[in-house]
Amino acid sequence: MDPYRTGQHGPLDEVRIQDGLEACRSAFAEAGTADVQRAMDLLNDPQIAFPTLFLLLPNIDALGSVSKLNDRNAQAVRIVRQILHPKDTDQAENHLSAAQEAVRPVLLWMVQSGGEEHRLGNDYQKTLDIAISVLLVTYEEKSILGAVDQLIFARHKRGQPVHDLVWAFFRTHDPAALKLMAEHLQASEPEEAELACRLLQVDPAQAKDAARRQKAYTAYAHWLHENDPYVYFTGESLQYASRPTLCKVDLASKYIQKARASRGGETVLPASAKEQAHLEGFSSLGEEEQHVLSAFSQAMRAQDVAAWSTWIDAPVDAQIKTAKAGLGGAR
Amino acid sequence: MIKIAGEPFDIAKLSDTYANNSVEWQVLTTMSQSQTPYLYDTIDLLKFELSLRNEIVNAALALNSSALSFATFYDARCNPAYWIRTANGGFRLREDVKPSEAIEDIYQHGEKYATECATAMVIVYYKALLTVYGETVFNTLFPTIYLMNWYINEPLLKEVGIPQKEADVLLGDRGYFANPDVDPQTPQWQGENVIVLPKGLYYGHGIGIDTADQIIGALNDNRKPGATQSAYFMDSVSRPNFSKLWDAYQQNKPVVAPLATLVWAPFPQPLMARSRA
Repeated sequence: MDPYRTGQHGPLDEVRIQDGLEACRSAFAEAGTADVQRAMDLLNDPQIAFPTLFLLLPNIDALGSVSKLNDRNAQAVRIVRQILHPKDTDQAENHLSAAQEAVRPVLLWMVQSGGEEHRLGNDYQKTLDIAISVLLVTYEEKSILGAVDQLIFARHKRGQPVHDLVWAFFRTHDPAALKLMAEHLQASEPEEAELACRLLQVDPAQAKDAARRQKAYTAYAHWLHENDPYVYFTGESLQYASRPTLCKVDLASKYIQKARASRGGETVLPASAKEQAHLEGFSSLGEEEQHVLSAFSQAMRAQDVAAWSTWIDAPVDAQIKTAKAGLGGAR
Repeated sequence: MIKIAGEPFDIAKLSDTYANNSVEWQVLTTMSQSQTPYLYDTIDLLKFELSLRNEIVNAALALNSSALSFATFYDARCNPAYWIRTANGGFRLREDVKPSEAIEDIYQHGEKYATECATAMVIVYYKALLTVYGETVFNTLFPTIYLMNWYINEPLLKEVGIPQKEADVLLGDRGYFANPDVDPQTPQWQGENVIVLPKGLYYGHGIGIDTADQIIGALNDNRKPGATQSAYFMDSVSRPNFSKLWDAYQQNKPVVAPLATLVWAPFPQPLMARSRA
């Protein structure tokens, strides 16, 4: 069992959640005045949540008790200080530079216990977002994707920063991120659906009423199911564009019916000499015809692999004629 | 090639209007030598675009010289006399101030402001439009301003947040250097928005004015351990919709009253002369 996973709260968490941040600080300060060891025992409670540790950092410093923190808490404090004061951090003690198995569970604890607290200000959000970024990108920790997805929309609703969260979420290059995001297209609240539309390149008009939102979700889910093997992530972000194109379909992969080897960056298709010749013909076509051919290729192979094998070996001109006739001239 | 009202336009006709080394002349030269036609209904529209591009470049240079600091959205700050800092790190114009004065304040008192590179680009655009439009038209057209990266709910400016593949990169365009292998500890280095300047230079807030190689070098210094992909200049740029901005100006520019002709009445006779009579 993961010793850092807690399903319940410690006593100090209860005060923070029920009575507020000031009450939590006061409770800890009073405990520290009466009995420093008792105060540290409360802080080192295995069930304590990261937001409480973060909240009480100034009090811990005031007590001079950083050295009395347990390993997890001490590591979390080092991570917080590195994120908030990078210039004061010795690069030799960089806790976030590369995967360190001792650090992963601490980061997980910070994120899993810390996502719901939203009252701790910019430094807290920055700390949480960098922890998430490192977990998703360095550690490829996909288990937190669902929690990050929820955090994006919770923050957006409160008008709080989502910029770096969105970047890290899609930097995973995982179609599961698209599936999670797509669920919000059918949200009951239009603002939630609007953000999903903005990030998934769906017409924002689709967010205007419940019927259109449901239709938009169904259409997107169908598109993703059809194109999942060929989807790749462009690297675009909210820093680049107002409505970034976060992902695209690799039409060449779809055309020769080979799942994309990589979800980001340039296509490196493991193509035979024959496939390479097909791709050369395909790449000389305009985008409209590429869409027609790739859609037809997928539809045909799904119906009849033998017929598809014959069709794909034909010259590109002949392929286009067949495809346009087969699709009725539509994409 | 440049066409005005469907007819090819010889840029030599404007050789007396713009100096050889001016932004306007350099843009004209690029356009005229391009295989892609640049189409304008009137020469005034072409001149408007040239003027606005020149002021975009000037606004970029001026912002670089200002005391504006770089900060991520968590640490963004602004002058509360003119702007309200929103919870997500954006700046919303106060309702009781003039938009023109608020934009000028960023340039004059940059030490009170800190933001990231995309928002800085939008500030550049507003400053350029203020210079070209003048205060009255600017304040009429932009009564509410929200500065928050490319989240632009201002219809007149929305195109600046939509990069497209263009045949030519022109002075005053907004480009982007992407850094795909950025270190996840410092996601603010995921890329750099830039204004294209003369002499092969770019302005990017947080880096300054540099060549492409220098900007790429700065981004590459902030990649994850074991990175293999270099930063690079993306092949799409964004630019305002100059035609829409020109039309907005035409519809809102101050009307100059025609000169009136004064009709002088004859001078009255001197008092002494009248009394003697």
